[in-house]
Amino acid sequence: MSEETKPEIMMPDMTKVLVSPGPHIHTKETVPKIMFTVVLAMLPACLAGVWFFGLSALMVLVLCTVSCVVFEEGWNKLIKRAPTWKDGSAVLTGILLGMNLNAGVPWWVCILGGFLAIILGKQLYGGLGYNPFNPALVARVGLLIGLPEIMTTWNATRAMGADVVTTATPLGMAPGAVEVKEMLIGNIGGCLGETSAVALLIGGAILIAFKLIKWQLPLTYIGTVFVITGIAHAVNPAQYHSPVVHILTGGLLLGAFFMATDMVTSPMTQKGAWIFGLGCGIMTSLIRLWGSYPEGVSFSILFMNALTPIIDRMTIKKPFGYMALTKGAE
Amino acid sequence: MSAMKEFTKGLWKENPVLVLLLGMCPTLGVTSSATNGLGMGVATLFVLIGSNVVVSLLRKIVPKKIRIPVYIVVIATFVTIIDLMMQAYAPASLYNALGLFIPLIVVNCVVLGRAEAFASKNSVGKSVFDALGMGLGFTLALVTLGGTREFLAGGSLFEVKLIPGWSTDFMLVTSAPGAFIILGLFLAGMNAMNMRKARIKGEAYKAPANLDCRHCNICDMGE
Amino acid sequence: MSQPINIPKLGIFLGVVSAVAAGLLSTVSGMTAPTIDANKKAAIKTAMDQVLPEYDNDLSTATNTFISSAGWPVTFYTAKKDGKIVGFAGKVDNPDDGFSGVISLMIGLMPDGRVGTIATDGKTNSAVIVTAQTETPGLGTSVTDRKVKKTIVDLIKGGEPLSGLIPNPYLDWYAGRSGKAEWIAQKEDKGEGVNAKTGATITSRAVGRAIYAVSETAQQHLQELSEGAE
Repeated sequence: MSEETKPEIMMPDMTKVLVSPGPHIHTKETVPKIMFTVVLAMLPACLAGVWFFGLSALMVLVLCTVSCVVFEEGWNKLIKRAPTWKDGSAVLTGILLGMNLNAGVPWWVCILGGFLAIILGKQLYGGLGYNPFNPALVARVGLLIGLPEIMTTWNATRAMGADVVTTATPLGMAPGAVEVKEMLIGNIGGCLGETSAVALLIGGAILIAFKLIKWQLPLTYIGTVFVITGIAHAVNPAQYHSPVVHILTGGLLLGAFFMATDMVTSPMTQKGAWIFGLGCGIMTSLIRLWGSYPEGVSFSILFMNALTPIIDRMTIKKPFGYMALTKGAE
Repeated sequence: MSAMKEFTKGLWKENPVLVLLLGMCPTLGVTSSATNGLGMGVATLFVLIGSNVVVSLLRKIVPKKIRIPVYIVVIATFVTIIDLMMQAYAPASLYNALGLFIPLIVVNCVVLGRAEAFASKNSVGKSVFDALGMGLGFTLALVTLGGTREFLAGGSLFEVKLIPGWSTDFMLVTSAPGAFIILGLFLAGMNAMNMRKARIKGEAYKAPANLDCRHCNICDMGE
Repeated sequence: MSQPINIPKLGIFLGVVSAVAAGLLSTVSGMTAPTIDANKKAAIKTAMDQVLPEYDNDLSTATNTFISSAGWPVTFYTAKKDGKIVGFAGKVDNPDDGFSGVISLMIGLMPDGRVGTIATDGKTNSAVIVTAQTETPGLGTSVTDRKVKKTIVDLIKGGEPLSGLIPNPYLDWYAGRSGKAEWIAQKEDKGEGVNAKTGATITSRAVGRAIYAVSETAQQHLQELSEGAE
């Protein structure tokens, strides 16, 4: 910094933002269109959540979405910026946040979550595109640390019978307590958007079909978890869940398809996606197997979000014909 | 006049926590409640006054080469005295809460920083006012920070619940990540206020010129 | 740089400074040591008074220490009234199971080794207090702390402070219990109340194991406890 002149804090100049080297292709893709497709892809999992947890799940989803949009617009008003809610990113964050909550949370948790996601996770960094961390996950982890009691009590599904009010996630139970079929369709405890594996896989397929996410990332993420938990299960089946349980329960599928792949906070390059998925998988497995929390998806994705700029710099594509100087060459 | 200036600068313009960003370890570590912030602040204030007086007295006779070790011995002595005194006479709950951080005042940059940057160059009187200002500024910042965190967590202040219906504590703000988040918001607020002031005056905001790394003489061994 | 470094002079200066500091410290230490010692003793005494029924002997001489099955030493104080044993106070540190650091407890036992009960304001509390811990504030501490929650309303009204033990449902669960099967941290659905807090299972378990260690050790050594410590 030059002597005695410290510039006023500014938004980054868009002409100076680094992008990977060309060629670049112009597409008709716009932010709202992408966001709409992603929302469409999340629909099956949301519907499954509402089906299994009842109308309270719908309420959580709506409340989160509304509060996210309100906080976004409120902030824009406060700092006199043009409205941005039409780009759909706040809606998307809101739905993702709702999917990451238990269907039975009190209304104020949704609003607090919206505040954490939009203000703390996004706007304080400068808005869409400048946030280093996935806003919905910032909110989820903030709530998890802040309100552990509420965030780790899971509503039972409607199919479990009327007299059961709360249940544990299968990850918190003894190995073998829940059948695989139930996990596939989603008749288990957990956040309202993470229980139905089939619905999440359909959503993931939509995202990949529309080329909105790099398929390498979820593949390496889930694969890494499968391998590590598989080894642990093979060593001690009585203590550790089978890898199938690890993949089908908790937030792994939701995280791998919808949150780790967030365009703003995951690496731009293909090689980067491999590294990102691998890192997430290792972290998730370690936290699940030996950590004090039963679930590690959100922590691991946030952790890798922090490493994304470094991964991007390490894996940036070299222009055609470019050769690194070797030691011998002078 | 100048004594007054030495006193007031620590409260706001050169607040050790919010402007100089010194003593971050106790700032982040103990400010989970207003009471803890107050206890830590007062303990540091005492150490600051003691060390500033002694360092100022010694400033003409201490050889430059060993001044840092000498300062450390002086500060450590005062810290140990405070530690013993608190064990003997402070409420047990306060001592238990601050326990680990009291010995750490030895390495609190505020104390060493004032010794090196101010007391070693100024008269005893000025040093006392500097210590008072800095210590009170530190205390003020810690109490505000601790109070904010305590209030946001459960609607209470100094362990008295101000909002009776607030039954679920929001533990994020009292946990370590919360310390960073709230301190960050405080710093952002300070900057925003200073920028606003500058804008009203019609000039561009400049950070105080002598308060950045280039002007800090802590690491320079004085040759 | 030009000046030659006079090592002996520097050494002597530093030595003098250190010596003065040491002298000062030893003075202060001598001054405060009796008070600190008395404070520590008073803290233990207060804790014991809280967990024991009325007694009339000097507890500091009536001690026995046994090693529990978990390997922690448990110090027992035998409380008597009119020469008859009215209970034991067991002091234990659980250094292994807490979420962070050692959890120290003072537990009052009935003469048969069960966890004692203390009646406060018409409620039955267990004679268990956690004397030292470094658990997560607000989370683990809600299992360990017996703390009054003051509100602004109480402050204005100026209501009387609670006397005796402040109720804590997680600790009070143990009132009158003994025997291993019951001690595992359990949730509501057993229909037996709760001794584990959701989100603070580790702290709950650590507290439970410490209480179990004291009760179990007391029952194993009931003979010695009752005979010894005259």
